[in-house]
Amino acid sequence: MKIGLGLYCQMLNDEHFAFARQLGVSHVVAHLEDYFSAEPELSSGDGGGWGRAGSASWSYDTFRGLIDRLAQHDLKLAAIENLPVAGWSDVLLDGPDRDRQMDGLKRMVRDAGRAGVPCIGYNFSLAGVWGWSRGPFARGGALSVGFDIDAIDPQEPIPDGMVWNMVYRDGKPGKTVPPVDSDTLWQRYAWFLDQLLPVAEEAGVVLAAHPDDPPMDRLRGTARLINRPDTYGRAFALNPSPANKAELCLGSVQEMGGGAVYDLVAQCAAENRIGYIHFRNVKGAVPKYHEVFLDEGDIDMARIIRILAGHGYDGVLIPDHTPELVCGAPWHAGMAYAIGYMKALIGQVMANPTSWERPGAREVA
Amino acid sequence: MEQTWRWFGPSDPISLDQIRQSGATGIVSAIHENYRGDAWTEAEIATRKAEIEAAGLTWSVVESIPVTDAIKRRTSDWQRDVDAYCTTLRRVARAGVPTICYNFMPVVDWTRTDLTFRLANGSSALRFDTAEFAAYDAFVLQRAQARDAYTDDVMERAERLAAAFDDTAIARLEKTVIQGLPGGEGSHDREGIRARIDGYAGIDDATLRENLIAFLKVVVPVAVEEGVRLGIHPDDPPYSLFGLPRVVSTLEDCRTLLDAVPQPANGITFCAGSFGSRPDNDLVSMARVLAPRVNFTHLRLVTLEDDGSFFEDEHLRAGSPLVDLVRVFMAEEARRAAKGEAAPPIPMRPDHGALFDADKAHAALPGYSWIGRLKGLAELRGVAHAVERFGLADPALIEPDYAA
Repeated sequence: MKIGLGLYCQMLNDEHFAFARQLGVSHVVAHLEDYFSAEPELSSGDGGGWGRAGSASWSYDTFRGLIDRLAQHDLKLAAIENLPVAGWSDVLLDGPDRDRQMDGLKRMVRDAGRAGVPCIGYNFSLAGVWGWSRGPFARGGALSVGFDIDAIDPQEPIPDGMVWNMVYRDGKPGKTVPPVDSDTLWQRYAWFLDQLLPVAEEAGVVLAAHPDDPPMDRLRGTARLINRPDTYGRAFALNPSPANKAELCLGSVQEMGGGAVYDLVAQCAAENRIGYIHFRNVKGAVPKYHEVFLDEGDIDMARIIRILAGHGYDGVLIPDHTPELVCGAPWHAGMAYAIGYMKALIGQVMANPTSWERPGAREVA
Repeated sequence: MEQTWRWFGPSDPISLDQIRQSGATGIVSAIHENYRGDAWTEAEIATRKAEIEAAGLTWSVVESIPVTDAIKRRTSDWQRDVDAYCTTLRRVARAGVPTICYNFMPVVDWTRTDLTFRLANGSSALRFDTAEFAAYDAFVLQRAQARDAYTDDVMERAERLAAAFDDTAIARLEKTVIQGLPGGEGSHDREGIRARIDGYAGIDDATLRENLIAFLKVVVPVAVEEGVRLGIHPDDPPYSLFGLPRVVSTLEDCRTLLDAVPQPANGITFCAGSFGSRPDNDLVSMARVLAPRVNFTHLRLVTLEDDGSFFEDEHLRAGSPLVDLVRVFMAEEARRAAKGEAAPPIPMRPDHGALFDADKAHAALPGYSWIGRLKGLAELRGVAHAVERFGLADPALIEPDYAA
């Protein structure tokens, strides 16, 4: 198992690559979309969400340049996380530009493969990551993210011109995105997979699906897709391509409720359906939860590592988000804590094969 | 193990609010404002305790109650200083702090030659370079017998270093070596340290050991009476510096002082970094023997070089013995519990940590970084969780010597 660090687009610089090296991680997961153009700090966002979407496509040179810069710091690129919003808005919305955008996505996936990007994570979602707020929810007053259905109007419509919590074009005032039901959403998703997976497979790129965050049934009047543990199975059954994998976010799966995270991890690992893992922890589930440090949440993180070890998972785990410690370098401190804890757990599990949960095994005392 | 964090008081650049977020529950502190050797007042102690508790934390360990030169040399002020020591000991005990750390290193406390050594991963850490230290000793301090203390090889390199010294280099080295590191009990100038070293003329290891035992025979009964435990910190590095005697460097050293005063209150602060700074100290074997008398632990890692130089390394670097040390100390906690001893968990702290570039804003004291220590604590916590989950704290790890 390999530990990676996720970096937002404005962190893709020597300073943060050096930090990754000092933490001792081997891999980086990079975001290329800018979620911070509207506000300096990531939040759910007001009317405009995370602000204006950037470029509709990223080129071979962008990917290759990033991989080369990482190599100078002895780091490898594990994945590009998320697609360019302006490059697939009409794929999500079934808009007039859908086919042209799909051509662009195919070109981009081919470029990614040629440049050496092994995996692209995506979140097939109309409402996106929305409705949460930040507060002192983690140990000792550390700042993290919480979701409380009573604090928001979960069905507040998406303004026209927005998808995935970003603005992809100027919207018509007063107009909103019409409701989308589950069957319709799954049809759109099936088309997306059938179009893009053959290209990805040929290009040697894995497409990894992030579960819904938050994993509601509906959000902002639109259906959610991977919002229950069993919907991952449905996604894989839609198209069995080996390039069809999960960007397995343990936090989002736990937020679905029901404690299915262990079985899902075992299933995905057994079927080789893990692109990479968001290794984060949470207290509570929909309709109310908050993110916490790895060692204080509802998920038994040691058990997750034991399951992964038992199935021979050799891929990348990143902390995704983690509570930020209130100090002069909140993000860095949070990541250092998460990486240190992960390093210890993985090291101890790998050194003790008798602890592994092997395929078919159920609860281990 | 009880996870603790050292805090130097309100002037510490790392705040109690930060420490609370790390998940450490215990604070290691002292009345750092009074390291002169006179008794700490009840008011000073109450204030420190209140500061810690106001942040939702507990004052778990006093590190250190300093031991004066008069006690170490057994001069005419011995009784006065021992009385003051016992007064402080009683007062911190009555304030509810269960564990007291101290050391018996003459003149120089913990010592390094480089505070900004670059590790392979690009972060910086503390280093002790034998040749640099020898160069200071022989060519800057010009101590008479300095040359006899080092191998020819080290002396040769020391000469080359000294030949290239300019005023800046000397000033930097001198500041690092003799002006004192965080929590240290000695800060000297060149003339001052010469005088203090001369004060130990005629005091060899045997005499210093006698003086330590004489001190223990007075303070341990006070600790027993007050229901607290002492833990002597080993010498850092664990061998003579400047020709001075040092008597808490090896397993045999520890046995001698534990046997001289056999109550469990007379214990060891197992500093893995200090003991680990000489190649003939096998950390895990030492811990397995000493564990029943270990009252406090400093879990940091050093990497030794061929000539005896060493640097502070990542807690969980490949082959780190800290993993096995956690197993040993958790096995010891289980042994104490099985015996029905009302013993609190053994406090540990990650001790030092590397300085990351991103951490420079915190202006932390040398070795006492924020992010590096936090990562060290996270690593030790992860190991402890795994040891607990997988039942890796085998009771057979504890040797019988002190487990009666």
